[in-house]
Amino acid sequence: MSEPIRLKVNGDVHLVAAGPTDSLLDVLRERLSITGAKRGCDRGECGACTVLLDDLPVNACLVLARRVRGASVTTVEGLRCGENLHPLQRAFHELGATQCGFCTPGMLLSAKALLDHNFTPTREEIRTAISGNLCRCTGYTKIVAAISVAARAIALTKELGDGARTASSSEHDRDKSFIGVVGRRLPKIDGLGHVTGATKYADDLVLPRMLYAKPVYSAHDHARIVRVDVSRARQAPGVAAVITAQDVPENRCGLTVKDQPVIADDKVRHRGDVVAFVAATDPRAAAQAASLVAVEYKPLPAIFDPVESLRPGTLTIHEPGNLVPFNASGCIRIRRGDVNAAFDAADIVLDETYRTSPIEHAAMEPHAMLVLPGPTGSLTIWTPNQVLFTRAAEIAGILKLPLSKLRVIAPPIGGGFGGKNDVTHEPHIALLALQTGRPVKYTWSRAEEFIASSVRHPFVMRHRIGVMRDGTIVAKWVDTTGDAGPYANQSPAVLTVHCIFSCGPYRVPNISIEGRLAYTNNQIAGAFRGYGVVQAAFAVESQMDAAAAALGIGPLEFRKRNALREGDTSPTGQPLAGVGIGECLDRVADALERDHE
Amino acid sequence: MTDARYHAPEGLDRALALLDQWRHDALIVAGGTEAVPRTGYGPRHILDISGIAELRQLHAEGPERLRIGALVTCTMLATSELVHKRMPVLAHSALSVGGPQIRNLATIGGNVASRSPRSDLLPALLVLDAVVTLSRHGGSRRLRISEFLAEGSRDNELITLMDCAGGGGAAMQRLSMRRALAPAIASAAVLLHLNATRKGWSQVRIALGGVAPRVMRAHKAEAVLTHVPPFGSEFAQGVRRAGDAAREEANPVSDVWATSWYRRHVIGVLTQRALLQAAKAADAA
Amino acid sequence: MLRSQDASSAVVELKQDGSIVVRVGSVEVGAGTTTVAAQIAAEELGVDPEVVTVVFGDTETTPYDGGTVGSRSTHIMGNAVRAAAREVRDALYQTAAEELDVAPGELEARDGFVRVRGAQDRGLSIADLAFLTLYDRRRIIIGQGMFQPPTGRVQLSGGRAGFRRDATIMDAETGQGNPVAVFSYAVAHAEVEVDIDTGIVDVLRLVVATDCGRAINPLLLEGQLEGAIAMGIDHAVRENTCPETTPDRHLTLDLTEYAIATAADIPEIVTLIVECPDANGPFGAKGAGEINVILPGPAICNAIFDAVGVRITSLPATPEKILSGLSSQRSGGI
Repeated sequence: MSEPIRLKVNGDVHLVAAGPTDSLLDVLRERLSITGAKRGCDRGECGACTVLLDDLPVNACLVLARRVRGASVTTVEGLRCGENLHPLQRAFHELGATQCGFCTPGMLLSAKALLDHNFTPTREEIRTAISGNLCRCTGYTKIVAAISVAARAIALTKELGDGARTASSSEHDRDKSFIGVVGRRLPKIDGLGHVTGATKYADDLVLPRMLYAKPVYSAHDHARIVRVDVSRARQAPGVAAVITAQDVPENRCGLTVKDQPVIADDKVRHRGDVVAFVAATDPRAAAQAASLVAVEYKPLPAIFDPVESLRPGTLTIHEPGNLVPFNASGCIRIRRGDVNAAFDAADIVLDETYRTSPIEHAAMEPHAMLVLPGPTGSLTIWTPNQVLFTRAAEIAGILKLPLSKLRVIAPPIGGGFGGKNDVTHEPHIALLALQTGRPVKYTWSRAEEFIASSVRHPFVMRHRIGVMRDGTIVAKWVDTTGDAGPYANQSPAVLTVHCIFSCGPYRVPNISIEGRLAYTNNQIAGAFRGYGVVQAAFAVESQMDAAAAALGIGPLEFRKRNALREGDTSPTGQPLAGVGIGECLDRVADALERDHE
Repeated sequence: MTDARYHAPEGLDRALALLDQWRHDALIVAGGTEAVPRTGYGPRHILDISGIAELRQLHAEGPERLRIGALVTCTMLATSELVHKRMPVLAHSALSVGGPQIRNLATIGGNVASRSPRSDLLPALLVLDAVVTLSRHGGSRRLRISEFLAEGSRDNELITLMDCAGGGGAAMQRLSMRRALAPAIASAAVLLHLNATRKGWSQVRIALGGVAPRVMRAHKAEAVLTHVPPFGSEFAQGVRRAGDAAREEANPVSDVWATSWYRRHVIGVLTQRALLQAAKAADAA
Repeated sequence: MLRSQDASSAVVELKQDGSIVVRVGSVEVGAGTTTVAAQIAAEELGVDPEVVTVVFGDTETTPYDGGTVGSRSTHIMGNAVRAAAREVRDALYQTAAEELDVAPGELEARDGFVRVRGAQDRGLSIADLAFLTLYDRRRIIIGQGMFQPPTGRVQLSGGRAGFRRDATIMDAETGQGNPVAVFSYAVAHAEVEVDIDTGIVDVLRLVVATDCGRAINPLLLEGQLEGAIAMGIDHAVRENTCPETTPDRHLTLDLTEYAIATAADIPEIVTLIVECPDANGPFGAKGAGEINVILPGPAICNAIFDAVGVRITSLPATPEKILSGLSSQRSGGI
């Protein structure tokens, strides 16, 4: 029941069809192909869809298109003044305020609304004005600085007329005096697209006759699958295909341990397991059909604690047991010297157990992917994946396709942080494309991101440190267990790095580190910026302060005494060169001293 | 495709007539911040009232009162000189709703209609003893906000007006996990009126948010403070005891943001801080 | 980054008009890998980065890359680009040496020209050299480069077939080996204020010194460091997909239940760049994409202890944990 409405966007009047529940965001992106406003959450919680409605910033996902009537809509595409960039666009681009660019359009519009009525904002006013626009890349520091500079530029223009040079350009000119290119503060070569809304992310891509996909996820944390009935879903209006485990040529994958089904067949082991996947002519039809898939489960007790998971007698998530079998022992061990003797000789021994939580990548761009089947059985996949070539090989293996028939393209990615590091639903979308012969697109909802995408490994880490009264560390003993979730994924590599860095940047002559991974029914734990070191450093650095306190030495001094030096070796015996820890300690100490003066 | 039908009446009478016809089959959309994410769940009729201009008015009445139309947005409340002058606690509360984009859309009517235990406007409206006008096809009625919170509205009624009286000294204290886009974990609003002698209180109102199924007046805490002189160590002790009473009266739950014991502990702290702040404002008034 | 993480390769192609196309299999996550690739190629060839176009992230048109992950791109992809650019440069030097009648070793590339060192008036533009090489010498100028961190193999003991490569270069019992490609270093100092009545932690300031070898692009580098620090602060005080406050297990489902910092929540961040060059890195560069997310957590927890004497041993450091700690103190626990 779509009716045409008149919509004024960036000064142009459009006659466009709008259904009764279509949001302004839906109409801008799907009907008018104005893709600068981004879909980050569809619930008004992230600000990526911010547009100006008669100069007021609003979430376009919360405004019904039909409500807009005579109001003027401004999107990022309408910011330019003819040939020239708006001072905000220029400042964002030249001062590094845009990284992945996904939050940039919304951020620019919120900033414009501020500067339109206040061109001498305080830092606090700037922060408040953009407090409804989330950014996961920049930490907001350069964004606030850029808005401040743009404000000065606008104020100057008002005072001096349009010929005024802006502060930002003189800062940039200064850098051109550097002789080399390396070392230069160069704005990103793709930055212009980010500030004008021209950059196309995966969800901005459309193809003719495109179908939309929707997954059916597990209703349980742990259960046997008795039966999957997709008959009603297949009959639903608009449905082109529904796939289940039977449709997957090679239904087991995994980087180290091949323990993960592409579509769950015998069991589901967490809420993010796919049980079926639907392709239909529009997203609503796909969602409707997905709700018609009937699955009969036999629920099993679920395990959420990695230490409990390894206790003998606990229900197994995989056979033969819950210790992830990535090598013969299921452990990473790092040993040197004689820890027992060293602890006996130590003046003080501290022993503490540290824990970290599962963390979501929360990139502003949800995963999205588009697959185009070619006429001779080849496939083109657009997916914002950080590890293109290895993942292409995995996808080819699942589909039993030669790599020469598979082209994988990564559009600009709206934030990764390791969350776009795995094969996720590319094989499913590819299978739907192959079955239907049509392009198929899938964009994750924010809720689906939380349910099915990977998280940072929670770790339970027991650290014991032995120190002498003179402030030297003589021994470290570490026993650490990582929560891998239901599938091994990249966990062994994460565990390896975690163990290697479990002594921190310090000289420790006697070491015993042992780490392992447990299967649980929590979310899949995968790659995440820091890759196991975040967790290890929490334990190491917390205990360093505790040890310093026990010794009555200042925390900075204690670290200086034990810091690694040129020519030292890592816990695995690796010779170290270019050791910057001492200089880093000095620089921080200097900075703090200067503040106190 | 959806079966829903969209209607955007420009006049209040038309809107009320339609609502009278459809009742529960209608999803009312004002600011849209709550309703629009729910349009996908299959309402038969979407009743968009955002175009009803007469509901977006804000007027002074007498020296202290304000008549606030249901479609007045949080941004309008936060930036209105009238609101800042007459009842700054309402402006301050409006400023803590969501973020700038949400405030530009979210309406006072929608916020009140939700009766959410975490509402940012309801604690202030409770201590301002606001009166809610509920209109229906063929008539209207007025309810004190506390009654509205208990009863809700009938399925053919729309909130059209809020009537509030300022004066005295008021304050709101709120706690959340971040400084924007965050629902209140707990909040306390206080309004205090000194009596004619200025040696006692003529009005003590304390409202608690986030610690019960509905935003509530803390009558026990109010009773503790009512007979306490407004200065000196007696006042300070009274404030502490009022905080403890608020803790007892609260009936909080545990959720993703906080446990019930944390809410219970913190509501005492927020009550005390709001009392001290309101007392200063009352003294200055 | 681990040494087992695969190689990167790059192709640099010189067009007849002297403009340059760099092809890398890396992707653009926002950190600026493509900008760094352009800068390194431009530096080697002595041209303005404006004439460099980077084609990236396509298994059909760009060469193999091990992934834009693990802080590896500047170091590993960067080295590959440098090597490919050098091949192009060497091809240009060959033509220029012939034209100018000097040895290739006497030439340098700068400002879009190849000139004789010390005789700045004797040179040819890159565009002219490209044209000459292609149409006169009939040589196509395409450079290729590949880089894999040097691996050190240690005797394997107690192993079994099917090991991951990184496990094979660490001894199974003692872990000894050389699995790491590059070590970066950092130190963080945090200043916090704790509200002892509510347990709320206000992070006031983070000062972080980071050694990343060499800053290829200080603007982009700062962006990475600042962003990582902000993420680290969130990890420290807020983030948990399975909050410990709910009566039953609940996984967060949206960005209100799972709250990351808004612009109003981020404190003053001071980033200090230290350069202790890595011998194997392009221009000495190590990697910097991850390291700053690591330290705010413990720095903030140590600062909380300094402020109120409560030791946080599990992240995130929520107000509940702090209040719990404070009330233990009051009842004589610590």
